[in-house]
Amino acid sequence: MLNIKNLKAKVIENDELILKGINLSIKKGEVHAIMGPNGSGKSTLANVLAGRPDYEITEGDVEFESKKINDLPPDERSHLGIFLAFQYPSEIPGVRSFQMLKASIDAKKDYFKEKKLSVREFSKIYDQKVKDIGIDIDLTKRSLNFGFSGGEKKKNEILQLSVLEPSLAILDETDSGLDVDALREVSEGVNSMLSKDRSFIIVTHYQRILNYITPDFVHVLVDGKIVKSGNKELALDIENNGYEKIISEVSN
Amino acid sequence: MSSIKPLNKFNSIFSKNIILNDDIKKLKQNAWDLFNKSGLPPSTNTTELWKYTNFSDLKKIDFDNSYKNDFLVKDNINILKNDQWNNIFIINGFFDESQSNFSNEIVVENFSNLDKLKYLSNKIGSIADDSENEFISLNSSLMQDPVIISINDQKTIKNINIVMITVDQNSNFCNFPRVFVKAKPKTNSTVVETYINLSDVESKNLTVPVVEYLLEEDSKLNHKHIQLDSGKSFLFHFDRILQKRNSNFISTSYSNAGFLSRYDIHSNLNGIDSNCNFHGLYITDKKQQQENEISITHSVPKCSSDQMFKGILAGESKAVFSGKVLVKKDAQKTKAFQKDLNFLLSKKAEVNTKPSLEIYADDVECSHGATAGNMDNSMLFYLQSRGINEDEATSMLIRGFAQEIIEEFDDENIINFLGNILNNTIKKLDIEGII
Repeated sequence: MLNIKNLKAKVIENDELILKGINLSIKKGEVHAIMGPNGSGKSTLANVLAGRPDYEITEGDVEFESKKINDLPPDERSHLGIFLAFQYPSEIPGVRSFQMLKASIDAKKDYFKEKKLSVREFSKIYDQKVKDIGIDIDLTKRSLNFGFSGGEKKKNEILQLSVLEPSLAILDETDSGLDVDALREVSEGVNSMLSKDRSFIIVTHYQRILNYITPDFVHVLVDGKIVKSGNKELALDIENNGYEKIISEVSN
Repeated sequence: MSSIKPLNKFNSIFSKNIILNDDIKKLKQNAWDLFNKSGLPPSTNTTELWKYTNFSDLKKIDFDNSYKNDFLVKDNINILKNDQWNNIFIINGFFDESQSNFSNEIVVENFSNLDKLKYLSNKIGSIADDSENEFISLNSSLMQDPVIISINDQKTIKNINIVMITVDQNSNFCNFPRVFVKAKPKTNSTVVETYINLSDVESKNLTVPVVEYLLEEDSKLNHKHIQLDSGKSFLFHFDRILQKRNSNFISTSYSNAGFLSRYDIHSNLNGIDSNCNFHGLYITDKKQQQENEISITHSVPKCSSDQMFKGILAGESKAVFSGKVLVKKDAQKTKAFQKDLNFLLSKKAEVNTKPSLEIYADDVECSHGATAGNMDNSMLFYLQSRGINEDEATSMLIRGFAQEIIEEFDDENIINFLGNILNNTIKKLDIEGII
């Protein structure tokens, strides 16, 4: 469902090349973990896949469901089924979670020329998901992510994931800044979304989130390239020996 | 130094004045003498009060105040009426009895209540000082039908909806609505003060409303100010407030700018334990200019004030926020806060924000702050990644910025009314070149 071929991408502002030739193939229902040291390009890859306009693809292709999406705007990628759970979700004044998600669903229905949900129909779905994820109902009445704790922000991302039901969910360092309890709750939310029709890319620096969400494949990204791929044992190896070992292996 | 001459063009209007009694005649003559001394402010930034105002376009126009009272704007007017409220319509500076309807919870008087004229002249001008501002003295000189509204009932009363309309037949029309609102002790009321220009968008008319508020002891007045200006018009709108002991004036305003619009509000906190809040939203586009002159005088101890304005600027428009707080020597235990936040949607838009605190007491708690920011690309990408296209995401962020103030109107009818106006305004904004 996702095919990344020799992907190179730079930061537009300073012309710095971050992704230096990524090759990755993901099939329906697979969970892939992307690990790597700081500055290796993990988050850039996540953002480039979602279409962040701060980056420019200089070479290579991203194919999603057999369609080249290199030049699609972020909203269209979302309609097609790509979802990015942000490492740092934006605080958006005056916009509430319900309002944004209703607009998201409306836009998607528009895109596929389907009938929109009424406010009542959407409310029913929304309220149930809020309950399932375990989000304080008072939080949903506030401006999006305003005054939310780190854990609440990440849970709110998972709420959006569960409402939008994407076919590819990219979690960008969802575990960062979470205590043990919040990490468990967020992971439970993700696990409840696992399905044979939904693929996941879990971008993380640490192995610990993978104790809760079991990956089918683990890839190690160093300096903008995938240098090693394996199964979940690879993550444990990194946990025990650090990235240094892999980096020296590769350079030899 | 250039000499400041009064605009002789107002002379003919003054000479046509309807003078109904000696007190009014005296008041008008004094105001006219003051205006003749000052004239309109100079065209360039020579005074602090008019630092960013360019009067050159205004001075080119020969104003006239004549019009025939036979226009048909009923459809437009109906959206401004609310059957559940007390409605007071002032059209082109004249109280319009046929459009107005109000219960006996309030007393409304104007020039036609001849026996009350003595009473009337004792009120008008007692709070708005003709020597303070050129346009206040111009209003006092040329007002034709001042209206006095007295809130006497201590039980909860229906909203008082004061609607001032400019609808001209000639492009150079000018008018000077004047209102005095008196809130008696222990009353609790809501006044919706709306100004709307229903003239042709090409019209270069001038409107100078002056509204005086007297808040007696223990009274509370919720003030909801709506300015719907448009096109090429000039507006200088003054609210002058005098607050007695333990009174509370809570004001929320929404301003759509005309060519040059000024919202000028001042409260004198003159009785201990009083409070006033001025929160507002202003929106400018194309070559419009909106000026907000917000000033509070803390004359006595233990009063508090809070100013919070937000601006949305597009096109080549300009906005001014001048927030002043004067804390007099005896006004100990004063609390005064002010903030002005601006959202610049175009590279050519410009805001001049000028918070100032003048403090002569030593035991006070005051703060001020101002910001001007552009569209946040991270927020925009966040919404886009959720399937919302760039245009809709942009509108959503602008509406979100405005929402905090809109919600403070705290009335479903007004929030919906302004929400629609805001959406239509946002759709037309010239926001090219920022994203």
